[in-house]
Amino acid sequence: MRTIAVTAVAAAMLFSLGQGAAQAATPERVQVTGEVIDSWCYLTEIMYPEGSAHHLCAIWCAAGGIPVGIKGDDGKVYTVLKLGADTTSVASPGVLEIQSRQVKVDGDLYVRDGINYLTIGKIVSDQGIVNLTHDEYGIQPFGE
Amino acid sequence: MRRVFTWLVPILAAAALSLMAATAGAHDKKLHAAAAPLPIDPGGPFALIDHRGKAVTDRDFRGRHMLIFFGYATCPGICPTGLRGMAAALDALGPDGDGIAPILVTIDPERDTVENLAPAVAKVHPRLIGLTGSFDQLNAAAKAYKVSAKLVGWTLQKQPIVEHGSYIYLMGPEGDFLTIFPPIMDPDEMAAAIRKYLG
Repeated sequence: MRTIAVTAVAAAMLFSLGQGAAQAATPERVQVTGEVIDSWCYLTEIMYPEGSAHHLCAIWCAAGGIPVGIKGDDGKVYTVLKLGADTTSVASPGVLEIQSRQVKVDGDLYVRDGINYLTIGKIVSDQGIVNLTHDEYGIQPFGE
Repeated sequence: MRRVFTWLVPILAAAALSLMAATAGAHDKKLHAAAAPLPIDPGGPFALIDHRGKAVTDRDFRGRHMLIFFGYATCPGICPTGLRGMAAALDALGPDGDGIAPILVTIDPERDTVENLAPAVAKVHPRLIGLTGSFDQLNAAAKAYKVSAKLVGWTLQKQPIVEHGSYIYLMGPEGDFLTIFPPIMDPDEMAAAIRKYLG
């Protein structure tokens, strides 16, 4: 009887370890604060990519399906995979409205192949465009 | 001996159950068993026509990985960037990438006919396969891959401007979703990531 009991406990412990591994495969819940960016222009550096100077271009890029990102205050770049309850598309261009804005978002983080993918559940705060760069850099890419 | 057996069987059974629980449902279980699966599940059947005029389905690509991009031949923006990135990643893979089928599925059936697709894909990469079809066929494929596409305007040269999803999908030999790549990803980094999924 004692052997059976010990065996059962050992088996339960081992099973719970496995369950722990399975449960670990869930996204990390994060809150990210930063500027919404156009990932193409930001990562390729083909032009000045931040703030009000790049707002117009960022809208065009997002409309073209280019993944939108968030340049986090933590120094990381996050690629937005989904915004809200959108289940019909991957990288929906429905993020036009928040381009270039300083936001704080709640979401889930998925790190894959060195890329930080973010699904945004909620925009906690939106300060608007606070990075006023157009005086210095003009309106990208069209000039003044 | 019987005592050992009494210990061993339940422990092995529990270990097997644990392993199954830890990996069940993960598309990329080999590579990312400990990572959260991406919250998307693109992929599914399609029946289209390739740039040589041959009818093809998703089943014709079984046994090969697929790198799939949805775009259109006259796209002025992200499509050439994404497709060139795919092509460069394939070249970077060398012989290791021989089993990969690089595919462009058009979202513009009106202009991307078989005749127009053939020279367009050849310009990008000799192995790039262009797929077209009827509006309904392409719509079904885009829906399966969760790609939204919408005509939003025209250029002065009378070319369409279509907003559309632009991720690159890596699918496994059974048509299973493995991962996505942003179209602006560095080709060498994309190749390194793809290599991890091969074999």
